[in-house]
Amino acid sequence: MKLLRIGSERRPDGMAAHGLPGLDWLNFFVANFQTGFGPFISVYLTSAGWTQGAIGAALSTGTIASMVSQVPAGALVDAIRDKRMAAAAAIAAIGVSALAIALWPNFLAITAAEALHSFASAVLGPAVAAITLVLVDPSAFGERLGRNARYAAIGNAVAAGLMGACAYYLGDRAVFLFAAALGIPALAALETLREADTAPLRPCRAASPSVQARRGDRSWRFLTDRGLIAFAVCAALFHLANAAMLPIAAAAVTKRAGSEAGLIIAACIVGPQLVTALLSPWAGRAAEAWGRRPVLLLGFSSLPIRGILLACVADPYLIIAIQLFDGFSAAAFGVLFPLIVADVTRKTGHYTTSLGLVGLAIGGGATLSTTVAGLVADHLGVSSALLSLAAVGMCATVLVWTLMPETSAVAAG
Amino acid sequence: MPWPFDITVREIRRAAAGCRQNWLAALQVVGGAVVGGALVVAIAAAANPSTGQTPAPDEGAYGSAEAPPAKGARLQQFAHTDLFRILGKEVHSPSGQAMARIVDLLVDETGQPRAAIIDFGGFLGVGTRKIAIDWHTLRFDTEETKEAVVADLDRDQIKAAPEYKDSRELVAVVIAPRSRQRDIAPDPGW
Repeated sequence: MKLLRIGSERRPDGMAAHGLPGLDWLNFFVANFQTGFGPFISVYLTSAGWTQGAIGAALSTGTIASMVSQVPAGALVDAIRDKRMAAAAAIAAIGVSALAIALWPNFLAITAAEALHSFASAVLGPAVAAITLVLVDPSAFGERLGRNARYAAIGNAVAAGLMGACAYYLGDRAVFLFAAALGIPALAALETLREADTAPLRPCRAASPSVQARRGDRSWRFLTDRGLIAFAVCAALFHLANAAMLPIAAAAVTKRAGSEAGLIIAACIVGPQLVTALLSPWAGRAAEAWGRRPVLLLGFSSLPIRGILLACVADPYLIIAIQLFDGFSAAAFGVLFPLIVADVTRKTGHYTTSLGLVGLAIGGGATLSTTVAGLVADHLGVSSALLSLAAVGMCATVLVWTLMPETSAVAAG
Repeated sequence: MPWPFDITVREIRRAAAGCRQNWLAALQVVGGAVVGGALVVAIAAAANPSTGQTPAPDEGAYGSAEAPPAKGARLQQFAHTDLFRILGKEVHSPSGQAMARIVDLLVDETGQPRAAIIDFGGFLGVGTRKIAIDWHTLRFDTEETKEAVVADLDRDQIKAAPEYKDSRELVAVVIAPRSRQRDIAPDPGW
């Protein structure tokens, strides 16, 4: 019996991917209010008079907390029966940390808020994926994940614009108050999924062999699944190549462009999100129709292309165009990450634990990316750094080609 | 461990008096005041970040702030408007355009400030560059000083400078064309 079938047991007619506006809005608002917690925290703390050392310490705490909590948080979501509650608690916790960051810019509060935010995010992502898995028919899962990714991308794009305006007109602190306030519509969107989720599902779940398998089977055999390990390795390399590209390209824009540099960087952030919003549903459908491998390969192969183009091109406006490739790979990865992990855990269970495991690989790759690219840029120059990132992206693509099995039951069968 | 928050004149006095407990108590009062007024001032604080951080601590709770410092140390008192913090201050171009924020200072062996490290450009923290600019290009005597300092350099003069890195042996500092450099008798003025 498959974990994926939990949803269909409850809804034999199947839930179409394009229903569930609550899930659309949930993804929109979650992406929206997570945006403030990026590089912007360091701007905010700088304006609060923090030293660089203190900022580094607080942000490193967040990074370490994020890495440490990925797998435990995933296991926690697996263990919690009511995924909606897990998501609600995580949203509330992120709201609280945004509020704390806005109101108490002292070392203890910020460090604690960073750690809390990291753990809550590690719960929230898998919880939303698990809720999606429960709500939709297995045959519509890929398409639904495409829709999730679309609304998350729109949320990211809108948030970048709104928070930029917030910072400009109301001050840095307002960004976090705004982010905290966005938790409320996120909770409201989650609330609309109540009826569709837990209450009628419980009896089915109790009877579902897969759930028993998940609860009873404490073995960690799923860790040795070839598909999962291969995907974790590819995901780590993907983010090792990907994470530093935008910061390096953006710093190059700052260096070359005039007073319009800020707007160009904003376009470099928002543009790819719009491409992701356009392409994600297509990526979801394609993954169902052609299988996962072709879509994954397409998405990964745009990484080395982007790296090479960024290394060769100096014109700030052309950098905006090249950054659009980011949206292409983000659409493929954003859809296939939860989809492939669902494929490989269909028999073994431990869906969100496995999401956490791949999340850990992603976090490791992304953290290493900025460090390594920074070192290469220092010693050999920015172009070399971008070319090395492109080379890593090429390795990731080759690994997908050689290591990654087709995980879709339909396409492989 | 750094405890960054706005240092008021009272806190300077307390620190001078070496009363660490007072310091911690002040922190608690700051926290308490923020908690109490959080909901009321949230919107106001958004518009003016300093609003939430001007508590009126009860002096009586931990002794008089006017107690003389021990062992011959003296107190010198300044008006609140005469001294100001520098870290996190916005740097404006001569035309009033916000360009960067001061994130650190570089001093020479005599302790005189030689350069300010600024975090330049970017959008929401993405794409910023750390650049060292000559201390003497900064002007602190403008009306804007509470909010920002003004550099005698504009965006185009700064943007392409080499990035400041702790690990580099040479520190490149951007100096304005008509620098008011006072190398021989450095006098920061305050």
